[in-house]
Order: sequence, then C-alpha cells, then structure tokens
Amino acid sequence: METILLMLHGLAVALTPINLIFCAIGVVVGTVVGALPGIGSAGACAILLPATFKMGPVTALIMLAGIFYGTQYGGTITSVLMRVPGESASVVTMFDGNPLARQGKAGVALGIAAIGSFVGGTLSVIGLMVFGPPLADVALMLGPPEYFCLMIMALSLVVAFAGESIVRGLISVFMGLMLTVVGQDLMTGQPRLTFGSLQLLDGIDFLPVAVGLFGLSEMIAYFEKRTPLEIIKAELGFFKVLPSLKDLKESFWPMIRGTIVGFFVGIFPGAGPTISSFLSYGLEQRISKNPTQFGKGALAGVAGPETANNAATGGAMIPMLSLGLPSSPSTALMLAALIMFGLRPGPTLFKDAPDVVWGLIGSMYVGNVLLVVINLACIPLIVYFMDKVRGYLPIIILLLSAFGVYSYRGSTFDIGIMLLFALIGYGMTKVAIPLAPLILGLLLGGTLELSLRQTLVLSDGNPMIFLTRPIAATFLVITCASLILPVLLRRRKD
Amino acid sequence: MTQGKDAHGRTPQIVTGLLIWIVVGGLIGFTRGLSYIQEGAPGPRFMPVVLAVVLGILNVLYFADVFFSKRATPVVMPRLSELAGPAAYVLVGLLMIVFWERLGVVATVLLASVVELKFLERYSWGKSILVGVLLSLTTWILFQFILGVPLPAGIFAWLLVR
Repeated sequence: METILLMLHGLAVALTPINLIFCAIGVVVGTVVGALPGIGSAGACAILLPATFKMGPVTALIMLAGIFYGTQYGGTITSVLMRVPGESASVVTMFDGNPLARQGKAGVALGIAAIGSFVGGTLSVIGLMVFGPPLADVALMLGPPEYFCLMIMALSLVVAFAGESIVRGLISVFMGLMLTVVGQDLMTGQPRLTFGSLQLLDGIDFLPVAVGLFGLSEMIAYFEKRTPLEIIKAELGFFKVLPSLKDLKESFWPMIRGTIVGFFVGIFPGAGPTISSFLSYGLEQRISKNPTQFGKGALAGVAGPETANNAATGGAMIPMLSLGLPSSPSTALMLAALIMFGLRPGPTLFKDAPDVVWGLIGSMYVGNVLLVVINLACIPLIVYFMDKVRGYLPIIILLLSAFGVYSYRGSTFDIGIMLLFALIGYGMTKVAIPLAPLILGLLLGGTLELSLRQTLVLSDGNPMIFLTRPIAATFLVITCASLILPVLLRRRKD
Repeated sequence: MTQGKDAHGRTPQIVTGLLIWIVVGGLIGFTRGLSYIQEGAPGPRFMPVVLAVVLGILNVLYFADVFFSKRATPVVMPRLSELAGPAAYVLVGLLMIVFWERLGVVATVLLASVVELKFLERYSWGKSILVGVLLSLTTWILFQFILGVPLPAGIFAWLLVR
C-alpha cells in the first residue's frame, strides 16, 4: 500500500509541467541520438549532463533517464531502415528488422518494435517498484567490508560482460581506479600525483573523462571510415506502422519473454540492454516452431529483443537506486548527476530523497507513453531529421562537449582532459580494451578506496576480515566465479 | 601499424602494454614521498601501490594474451591515410582550447566550425560560414543567457558584454 502511495506521489512529481517538459525533451533527444549511429546513450547523457546543473535533481534525473531509455527506442529506426544499428542494443533488431523492411514491412517492424519497447519499459518499472525498496532496506545493513566487496563484485560482473577478454576488461577497470588516486587523499588530505598542478588537486573529474570516452571518441572513429548510408524508402505514416491484430498476437509471447529476460539481465552490472537483447533473440530462435525464418524477417526476432532492451533499462535502475551501483555508463552518469546535486546515492536515497527516486520512477511511466506516441507518429520526421543533420553532427557534438565540460568548472583544462580521453578511448577501442569498465572504475574508485581503508582500520590491517564476514565472503565468491567461469567455459568450448 | 604488415595487430598492443608499464612505474615512482602506512592505518600511498601491483600482474597476463593466446583478440588497425580525418578532428579540438580564452568563444566556435565544415565535411565556403555563424550565436545564447554559464567574450567583448 505504501509503495502505491509513493508511486502516486512520484507520478504527481513527474506530471508537474517542468518535469513533463524535460521528460519530453529527454525522450526526444534519446530517440534522435539512438537513431543516429555514432553516439550512444552514455555519450548523449555525458554531453547533456552539464546542461542539467541549473535544474533541480528530480528534473535532471528525469531528463537523463529519458535519454537512456529513449535511445533504446530510437536505435531501432536505423537498424531497420539502414542496417546500421544506432545503438549496440539494436544490433539484434537489424537481423530480422532489415529483412522485413526489404520485404516492404518496415512499418510493421518499427511499429512492433515501438510497442514492444513500451511493454518492456512499462513492465520493468513495475519490477523496479517491487524489488527496489526491499533491496535498499537490505543494503542498509551493509558495513564498509561488505560494501567494498559489493563494489568489487559489481566491477567484476561488468568485466565479465564487457567483452571477450577478462584481462582487458580488468585492465580497463584498474585504469579507471587509477584515475581516482589523483588529487587530494581522501583521509589525510595530502596531494597525490598532482605534479604541483592546482587543477589536479581536485582530482580528475568524471565528466570530461566520460564525455571524451563516450562522446568524442566515437566521433574520432567516425572520421576514420565514412561510409555512405542507404535508407530504405518506406511509407511510415501513423497507420502504416500500426501492426495488425495478427502481428500483435504473433508478438505477444516474445514481448512477455523479452520483458522477463531483459528485466533480470538488466539488474546485473555490465549486462544491460545489449546482452539482454541477444539473449532474448537466442531464446526466441530456440523455442520457435520455425527457427530457419530467423535472419530472414521473423517478427519475433524484432519483438523479443526490442522488448528486452527496454526492460533492461528498468532493471538497471535497481542497483543504481538501491545500492548506488551503476550497471552501465549511462546509469553511472545518472549517479554522477546525483552526486553533483549533493545527494548520496545508495540505500538511504529512498528515504532521504523520495521525490527524486519516486519522481524518476513515475517519469518512466510517463516517458514510455510519450515514446510510444512519438515513435508511432513521428518516424518519418525522425528519418528526415537524421538525413539532414548527419553532416553537421561532428561539429555539433564537439561544440556541445566543449561547452558542457567548460560550464562545469569554467576551465579549459577540462576541455583538454576531455580531448585526451577521447584519444585514449579511440586507442582503447582499437586495441580491444572495453571502455565501460574504465568509467565505472572511475566512478566507484573513491568510495572503493574509502571502504577498503575504513575496513583495514576496523580490522587493524587484517585483510582476513573480508573472509570472516559471511556477506562479504559471499560477494567475493561471486566475484571469483564471475572472473573464472567465463575462462573455464571458453576453454571447454575450445 | 597497417593491416597487411601486422596481421595480428601485435605492434599497437605491445605499445599499449609498454604504456601500461610506464603507468605502473609512475604510480610507484611518483608516490615515493607519501607514506604507505600512517598511524597504523593505510596511508595515501597504499591504494596507488596496490593498484600498481595488480595492474603490473594484469599487464603480464595481457602480454601473454597478445603473444600466446590461441583466441587472441583480433585487432585491426587503420592505415595511416585513414588517420588523417581523426587527426584533423582532434586538431580542431586543440584549436578550440588554444583560442577559447584568447579570442573568446564566439570567435573560436566560428573558426572551429568553418574549419571543420569546410575541410573535413567539404561543404562550400558560403555554407560553412553561414552554419558557423549560426552555431557560434546559438551556443553563445544557449550557454551564456539561457543556462547562465559565464563564457569568455574575447575579441567580441565590446559587442557582447554591456
């Protein structure tokens, strides 16, 4: 009953005119960004994060969340019409969405994707309401040793899901952690690795690094190979994208299964929308009566993954809101926004800032309704805009990134850091070192060091404390399993 | 560095590994003046050293992955000619940093936009200048007036600042 009352309060917060406007801006920006290949939800959140400084925390978070789940909708458009996924989570949609478009069923594919996204997005918010608050209550019982192990577990899961090589993922995490030791020491206030620079005394800020890694590095890569894109011409008016009853019936169970897969996969740090969409596709293909149709235009191959990648966004909010743990670069940016507004992410957030948490949850219902309307009614407009804006995108992104980063501390030093990390991000992608673990390491590094040092003070420097406390030990066992199991499974496969 | 000469893309990976060694060395070397243990508790040097040790071990595994793994991660490096575009884009960014305070943001944005649109996107001079002017004015109005970010007006201070 209390949850329902809080939810109604959240809806009231989300429906205030200012929040509604910024929710709409967020989902529209998200849809467009998702549709434009080259910049993902993390890049868009990073670039637009500084623009939220003048808003309150609720409005800022509502807009950033709108961008996050809006990109999952928008990514479908290019996957279906151009065979170029706007977002990594839309890669799978391309397998069957594009063949459907070539068969003259682009409207149906886009319509089913929009409805599936709505179903997944909305049902996952219910899951968030059910599982979020109890998890936060449990998390309140965790002390520094448990919290340290929990963060280690989250980072190891991110690494396990980040790419093919565990070693490369771990290197990325440690590079992120390493950045957090620059600046004043947390406990003694002594300068560390600042080389006498006043700017470095405050540490390397999260924002320029995130904008460089996820916004600009993608643009640098874009200039390497510019390939002209072919857009499949299709009639995409409102009635053309409305699926028939038969199509909806065919897609019903894939959507339900996609929601379940997406929501639970989304909870795991690092898994997120991309992996959930692949898992859903695999599941649909495996249980289909006609598996050979997959890859040639199976509607279930669009409905399942599109539902799953949106359901994952709701799942991803659970560790973020309840534990203060980001599960993806986009949720890391939302956490950074909370910190910038002076809020303490973690289990106390539900009690300390109910307006923020429940306003955000309420806005996700509103945002999903807005998105399904926008995506069903405005696809031709989005396609037209995409076509026109493409040539100006690199300079617009460079300008927005530079202004955004500068506006945070008024320093060109930060623009330099941003540019440096754009190059580092480009280089890391080239040598197959994943970027996501670095940004999560950077965000969690400070708290991780503090928890570790507090724990060692508590235990008089005895590291065995991590093994003698059952919850901490359990987290460590999961950490080891998440790092060792993929290697063993790969060996067995070989 | 090119695709043909280095089929496994080992050279850039070796360079990456060497850079990581430098970072590891830096973490240990540049924190020498700090205490590892302070009043019985971990001191400010504790975390950098822990990170350096683990990163060092990981780097050994990274080299093993590059040289000995049967499932080595394929790395495809761009040709030098393909790097001209990315380098030019980064140069536009550097240009912005150099002129940001000196010329002010309006002039810097105009300059950067015209250079990027004319030489990288190959638009005509007219279109590049027109879009450049539009972008510089839009960003000034958006950030200075709407978002309230104090920006350096530079050479246009006489026009933009009352």
